[in-house]
Amino acid sequence: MKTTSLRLVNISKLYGKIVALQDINLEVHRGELLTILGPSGSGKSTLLKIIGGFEEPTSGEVWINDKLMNGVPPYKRPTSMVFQDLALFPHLNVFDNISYGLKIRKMPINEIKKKVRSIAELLHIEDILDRRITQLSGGQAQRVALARSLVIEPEILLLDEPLGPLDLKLRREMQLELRKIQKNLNATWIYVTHDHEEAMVMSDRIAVLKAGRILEVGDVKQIYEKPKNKFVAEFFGETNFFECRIEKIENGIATASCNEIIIQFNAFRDMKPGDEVTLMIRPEKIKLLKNSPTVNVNVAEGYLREVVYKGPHLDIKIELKNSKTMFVRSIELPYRIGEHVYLTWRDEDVAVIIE
Amino acid sequence: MNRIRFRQIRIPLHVLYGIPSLVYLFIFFYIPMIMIVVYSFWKGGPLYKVIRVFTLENYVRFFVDELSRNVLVWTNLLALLIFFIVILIAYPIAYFLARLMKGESGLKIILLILMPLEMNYLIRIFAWRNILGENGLINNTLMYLGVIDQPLTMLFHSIYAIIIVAVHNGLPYAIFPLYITLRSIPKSLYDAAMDLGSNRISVFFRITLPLSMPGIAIAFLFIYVPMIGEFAIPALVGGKTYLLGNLITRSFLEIGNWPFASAATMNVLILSLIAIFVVFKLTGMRWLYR
Repeated sequence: MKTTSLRLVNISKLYGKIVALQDINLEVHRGELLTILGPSGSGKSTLLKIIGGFEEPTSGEVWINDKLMNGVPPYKRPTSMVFQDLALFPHLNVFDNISYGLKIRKMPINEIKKKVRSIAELLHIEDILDRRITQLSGGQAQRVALARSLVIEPEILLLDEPLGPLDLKLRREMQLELRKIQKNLNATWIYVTHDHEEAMVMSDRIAVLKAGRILEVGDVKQIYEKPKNKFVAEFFGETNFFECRIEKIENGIATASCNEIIIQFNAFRDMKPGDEVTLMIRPEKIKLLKNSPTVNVNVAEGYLREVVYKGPHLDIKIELKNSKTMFVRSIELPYRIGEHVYLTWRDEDVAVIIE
Repeated sequence: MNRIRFRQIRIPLHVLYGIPSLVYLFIFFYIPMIMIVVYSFWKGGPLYKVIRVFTLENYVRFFVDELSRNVLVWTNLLALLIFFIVILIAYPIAYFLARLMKGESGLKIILLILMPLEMNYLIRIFAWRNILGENGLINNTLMYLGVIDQPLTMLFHSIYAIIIVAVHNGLPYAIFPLYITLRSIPKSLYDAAMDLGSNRISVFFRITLPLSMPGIAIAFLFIYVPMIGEFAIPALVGGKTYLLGNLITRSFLEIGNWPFASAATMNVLILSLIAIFVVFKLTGMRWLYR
């Protein structure tokens, strides 16, 4: 049984006439890492500030542990935030930064020392406790900011793109390390980012935000492979959409004709023949064949037009007979540009786009 | 590097550029300073008499002679008092302008606050006559309202007048640096402190005040240091009040004891240097230049 740590009910936020957030409903379970993913300006930082108590919603309710948090100032909320610019106190050294929250809580100094030490060991910063903030590298500063929030054992940890300024390699390392720490502590974290890869690496679930609205919430695999929203599908990288019309449904398998291509997929319960649907197939789910397959469903044919070498894989563009372009991702390519190829995929790799 | 060849001596160009100002400073600053130092160790008599014999009596007098010692002590206490009053008034103003006003609108008010500094210092002091003086605004108003029959004299030619004028005079020098330092504190620091459990009062004492110490330090140097050498304000509105600055001018110009006046000048200089040193040490100015 999952307990709910955070519940947002119909949250809206207006700045004058500008709508920053609209009708946000979201539940976060205890011990999970939920990522709020969205392009810049989508309102994700505002949402995090509302949870932390730095902004009040124009309407709607924030519930943490079944307590209504509206009007409760940040210093009385069981949340803690790791800020985008980290917001380390420049006049205090590392130890004093980390112990800040504990000192405010009037904890005895021996206990403070013990707690700071153990959290510093968890984050591998026990050797730099007496350094000044200005002497820290980017990665160390991240760890100090995280330690400062973790040490007060918040019910919910809020992270506002904390890995933004780090270089790619360090970022990848930190993502994995943060995820490990979160799992070990079995803590509830809400992570904000605009990087879909980071979101996939770190999260249990992802909520995709656009222009102040949540488009879709789901676990990582579902939201990547079977998105229900077109924007969400595109946000995770270039993909293939088909506008189709359902011809028949048999044994839960729908057959749709999509501009000379016939696609079969697992039907939803309320679908019926004659419905117009948008289908999506991820580029890496598509196989390239030289010879025509024996069946004529889930097959397309066309000419290989463009290949971009990406290192671990190749991005391939195929021009179909109806002059539509399909994107295919493959780790090898035994064909030459201009060659005639067949494309094929499986029923279960087809996603139905609803919005 | 550009060099000018002058026979066999090579002089770097930047040294050459420095020579005119060095010569100027040497003639009009260093030589007078050295003369003051030298004079302060000579024996002085009344009426500009100077006996060129080494002595420490001019300095010792500040510890032994009660009048001189009191002047030194009171000047310091008064300068400190004025500094604290200025900070108490200036801090809320600077805080309001820097933190509570939207965007850059505070800066326009800062410019208004700085504008009186364009006016001559002495004229600004004289202007206070019209407010504090026997026929000034305050006395006339109080008499018109029937609160008093006789003009209040404690307002003018008194130590209170010095405090009022000096505080008014010092305000821009405190508001401006405080505004600058308060503006430079990122908002996220306040948020982070609140996030970690600080209420507004605790945020002020743990974050805002320590981080605005550089501004307070600069205000201290701008207010305390000139005040220990101040002679115009006491002379013009201070009545019988006698500060270190007046002691120096009187000793130089009226009594004519140049060695003692020089020693008093050295006192001002040493006090200023100590103040600057202590302030920079205590406030840790280094993180101002992060």
